[in-house]
Amino acid sequence: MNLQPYEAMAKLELTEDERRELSGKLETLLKAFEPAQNIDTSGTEPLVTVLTEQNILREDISMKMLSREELLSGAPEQYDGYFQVPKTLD
Amino acid sequence: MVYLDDSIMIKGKPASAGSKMLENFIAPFDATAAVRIKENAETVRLGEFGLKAPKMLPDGPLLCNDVFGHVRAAATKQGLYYIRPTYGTVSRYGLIPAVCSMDQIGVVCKDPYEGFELLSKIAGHDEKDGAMFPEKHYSYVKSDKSPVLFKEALPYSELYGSVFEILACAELSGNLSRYDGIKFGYRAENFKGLDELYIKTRTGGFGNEVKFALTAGCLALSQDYYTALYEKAMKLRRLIKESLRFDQYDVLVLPVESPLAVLAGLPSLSFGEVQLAAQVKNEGALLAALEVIA
Repeated sequence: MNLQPYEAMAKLELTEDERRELSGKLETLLKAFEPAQNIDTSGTEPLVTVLTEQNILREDISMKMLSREELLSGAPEQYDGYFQVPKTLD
Repeated sequence: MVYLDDSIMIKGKPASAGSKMLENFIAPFDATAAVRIKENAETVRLGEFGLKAPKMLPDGPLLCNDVFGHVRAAATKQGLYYIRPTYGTVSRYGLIPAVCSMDQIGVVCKDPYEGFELLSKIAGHDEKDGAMFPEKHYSYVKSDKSPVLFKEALPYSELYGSVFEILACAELSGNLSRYDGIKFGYRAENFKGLDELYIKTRTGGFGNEVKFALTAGCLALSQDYYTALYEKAMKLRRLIKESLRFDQYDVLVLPVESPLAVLAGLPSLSFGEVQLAAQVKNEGALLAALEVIA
C-alpha cells in the first residue's frame, strides 16, 4: 500500500520501517472491515454524533473571551502581538 | 486530592495531553470539570492523546478522557474501577480534544461510590459545550432493584472494533490538524518554508501511535476511501446504536476493551472481573442491572 499521499495530507513523513508497520496494521483493519460491505446500508443515514442531530445554538450575545496575550502565550514564536510564521512569499 | 489527566486543563498548569507536541504548553484557562470539583487537584501525564497505555495510574481518584481504552485496561490491572458516564452529561470545555464524538471525561477510582460522588459534582449542562443534555444535575445513587439478567448476542459485534478505529482515526486527524508549530506547542528547529515547518514539527512532535492514527484517518477521509470506509462506518454506527434496546435493559456489561460504549455514547463501568469473564467467553454478552457489577 502506498501511504505517501495520506502522509502528505496529514503533514507527516514516515520512515520506511514505519510505512511497513502501518501498512500491516491497515491491511488488518481493512480485512476486519470486509464483512461491513455485505451489510445493506443504502437506506441508512450516516450517524455523525450520538447525542442529537440538531444544532444547539446559544443566545447571540458577546462573552468574555481570552485576551490577545493569553491566546499568544503558548505560541512558539510571536512578534508584536501576532503569531510569527516563516516567510511564505518572495 | 483529585488527579486530572493533563488533557483536562487547569489554568497555569502544564497541559500536555501526554504529547511532546504540547510539552511546554501551559493551560490558559480552566476546564469546567476542573472548576466544578472544588477540591485540590493535581495533573498527571497519561498516554499521548489517549493512544498509548499509561505506565501507572495514581492511587487517588483520577478524572480522564479514555477513548481508546488504555486507561480502563490499566485500571483493571491495578484493581481499580473506571466509570465512563453517558456522552453529553459531563462538559468537555477545557478538555484537549481527541475524538470529539467520543470524548468524555470519566473517573478511575478505588471505590465506585467515590467515583459516583465525583461524577455528580462535575456532571450537568454547561453552555460552553454545545453537545450536552439539558439536565443541570445528575445524581448517581445505589439502586434497590433486583437484577434481572439477560444474555444475548449483539448484532454487528464483529465490526465494533473496525468501525471504532475508522471513525476515531478520522476524527483524530481532523482535531490534531491544529498542531502546526505556529499557534502553540512544539516547533521544529530547522526548516525551509511553511510546508517544511508543518511536516518537521508534526513528524518530530507526535509519537508513532499518533502518526499511524493520523495517516490512517487521512486515508479513511480521502477521496479513495471515503465512501467505502468513513461513510460506511458512520452508517454502521447508526445501525449499532439502534440495535441496543435500552427500552428493555438498564445496563450493558461488556468486555473491558469493547469500544461499544464509546461508539454508542453509553455509560460504562469496567473492573477486573469483567475483563476476566471476557477473556474466558469471547462473545458479545448482553446482561442487565448495575448490581451485577457492584
